[in-house]
Amino acid sequence: MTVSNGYSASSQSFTGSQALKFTATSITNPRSLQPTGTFAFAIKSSSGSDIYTVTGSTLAVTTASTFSSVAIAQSVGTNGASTSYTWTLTTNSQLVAGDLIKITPPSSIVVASPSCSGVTGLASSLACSMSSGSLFVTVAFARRRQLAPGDPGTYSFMTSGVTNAPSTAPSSTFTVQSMLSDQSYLIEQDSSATVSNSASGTITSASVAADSVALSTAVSYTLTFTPVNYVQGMSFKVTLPIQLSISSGTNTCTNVQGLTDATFN
Amino acid sequence: MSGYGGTLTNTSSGVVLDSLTSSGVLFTPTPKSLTAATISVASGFTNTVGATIDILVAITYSSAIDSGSVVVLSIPKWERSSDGATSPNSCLSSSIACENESTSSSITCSYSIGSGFADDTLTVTGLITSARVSGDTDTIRVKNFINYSQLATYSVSVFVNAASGSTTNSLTGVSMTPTAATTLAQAEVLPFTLTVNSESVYFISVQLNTILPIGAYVRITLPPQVSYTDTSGVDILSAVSMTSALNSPTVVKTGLTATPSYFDLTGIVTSSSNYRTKSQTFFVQMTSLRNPPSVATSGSFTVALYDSSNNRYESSSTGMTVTATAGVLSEGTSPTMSATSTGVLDSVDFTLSLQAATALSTGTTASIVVTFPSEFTLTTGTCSLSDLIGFSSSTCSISGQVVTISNFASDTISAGENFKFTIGSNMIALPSNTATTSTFTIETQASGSKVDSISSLTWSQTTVGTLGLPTTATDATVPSSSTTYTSTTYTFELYPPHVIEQNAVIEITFPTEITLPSSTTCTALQNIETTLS
Repeated sequence: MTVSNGYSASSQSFTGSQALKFTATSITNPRSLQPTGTFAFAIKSSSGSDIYTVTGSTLAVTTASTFSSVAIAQSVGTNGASTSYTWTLTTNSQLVAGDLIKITPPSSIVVASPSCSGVTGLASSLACSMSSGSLFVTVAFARRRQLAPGDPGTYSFMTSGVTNAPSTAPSSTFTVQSMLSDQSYLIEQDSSATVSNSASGTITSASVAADSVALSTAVSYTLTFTPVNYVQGMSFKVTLPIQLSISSGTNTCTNVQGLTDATFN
Repeated sequence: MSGYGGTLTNTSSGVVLDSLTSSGVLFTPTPKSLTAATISVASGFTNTVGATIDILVAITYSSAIDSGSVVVLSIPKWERSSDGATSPNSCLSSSIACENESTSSSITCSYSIGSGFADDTLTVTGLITSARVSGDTDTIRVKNFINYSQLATYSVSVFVNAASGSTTNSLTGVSMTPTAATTLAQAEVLPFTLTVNSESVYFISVQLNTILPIGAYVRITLPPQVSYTDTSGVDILSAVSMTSALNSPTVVKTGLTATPSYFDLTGIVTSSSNYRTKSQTFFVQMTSLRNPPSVATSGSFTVALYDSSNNRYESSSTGMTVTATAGVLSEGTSPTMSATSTGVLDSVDFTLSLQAATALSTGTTASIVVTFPSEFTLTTGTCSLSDLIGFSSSTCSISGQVVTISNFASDTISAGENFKFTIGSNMIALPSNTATTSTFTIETQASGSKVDSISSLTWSQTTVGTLGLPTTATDATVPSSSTTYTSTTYTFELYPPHVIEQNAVIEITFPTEITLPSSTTCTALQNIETTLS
């Protein structure tokens, strides 16, 4: 950038302790938190010869910008279902081939042995892996644009190998970050996206055994079933046939197996 | 009276007593000498050899003179056979005219040129329009008379002739003696090489206004700035040569120790074959005179012609000066120029190393003058000197762009010798940028005139000045937003060490991670004009 006409009327004396100060607008910060290279300043004569020069410092911005939006779409919305997620990110920054998109799902959602493919704006085949509970997707573009950075915009990709949360409760938030390839510096981030399952899972087997079959006799029933999803503190809801009645206030669960504790409500 | 006849007769008898018949008896009366006759130079004219002048011929009659008589002047030739002339010129020409000096009226005069060295005659008529008696005086102004060629006496004869042709009065030996020397028609001096203080062949051409007679000699007087011996002590005057028509000269050198010094070239005209006359030229070539020690125009050479009686009758010095050209200073030991710092506008001690082409006697009249290019800023005043090579103590002063080193001790910088000096006291500020400067002018001078010079040196700084940064360097570049990839306003803060020259621009090279817009708006905050763009 060349700043002209700063001394068009006359020369100006300086002593080394007087600041020369000005601003320039519309300069776009670096796309990541990585410190930049150095600035170089030169004051030149009108003929272009250097008068003074100095190599300035680097610049490191401190805040990663936030994705304009992050959307997560499940292929299957059933609790605990193994499915694929489609992530749609609308960026404010450029993406460069080799950048990483790091997605840290809430603990209720499990990603294992993922495979990824681009849907919008990215290469159809994307490298991705799990590390320390986070999904890392390496940004790649279609071959024709590998060498150019991706402009700010919407990018989406699909990841298979995702197991839905075990309940239909809205998930905790996903942390989605874009970062440089060495994972050292953030580019953009978002921690607002959640996902909610739309259907419960199916208990794969259930049986009932009474310790007495005498009519109108209070008995204990042994309920045996195999659920798909487990959630800490989860409840089992058993709906009795109309022919059975439950004595109020005297019911307890005993001889529970497969659970650490159970209370009857 | 051509003669006559007659008869003697007895008047009483009428008898013829005797008779004589004669073819004539001649009677030729002897003319009387004029009481006086003089020739003088008319007022307003100088009696200069060879000059065209008016002369006054005054005659006092010693007897009665008939009306209608004429005055005849018998005038020797302008140049003499004794001088060596063989085809003498005349004092008379078609420009001759006469006046009656007492009445200022024109009178008729006619001339005829005598053969060879025979006198020429000038016949003046219309002067004596009435009879004169003894003691009467007439004065004739003869105009446009060409004065004689030498400071010698010439004898003119004056005759007063009756209308019949008989001479009534006459006088010979009326003298004319030119008394003033004249100026050569032309004289030039030309050194073959002009470099200061170098030996050169000198060539002098002379065109005569009068003559170069037998026995004449030439005296050449040198200006004090031109010396006559070379450094090896060889007497170059032995190598004087002249026009082939003249004899090889004998160089009389006794005047070389005089002030001003001169030498005579004698024996150059010993016969009529060597004789030179008006408008003719001759040349003198002198080997290896030494040019003036500086480019100051020398005093004049003088070329003077002397006759055999040691009368200086013709000379010239006008325009006979020489102006030498400066020698060329060379660059000395490398580096030719250096400074104690190389940052723009730094105040420095400045060192110059040069080599003299011409010896410089560094006494009180010598100096070394360095004119710095305008890109440098010099502080007027007294500067110190150090790092001296080639000379010892001296003084240093700065005025404007000019540094003068003078008042040397009695050193001599020899031709071809390196000399070096450092102008100290940090009184020289380097240029404000790295562009090559305009040229220095460096001169050695003698008595204020250039001896050697060089005007080709320039200065190029390889190191620019260093811009200062804020105490916290990162404060030099502060974005208003610290969020990645956000379009924001940057504030720049820099600390120039010295002046920023007019029309300077600020160039910022951003790291590649930062994206610049196609256009931006800059706003001045401090120490920069608000018109910046």
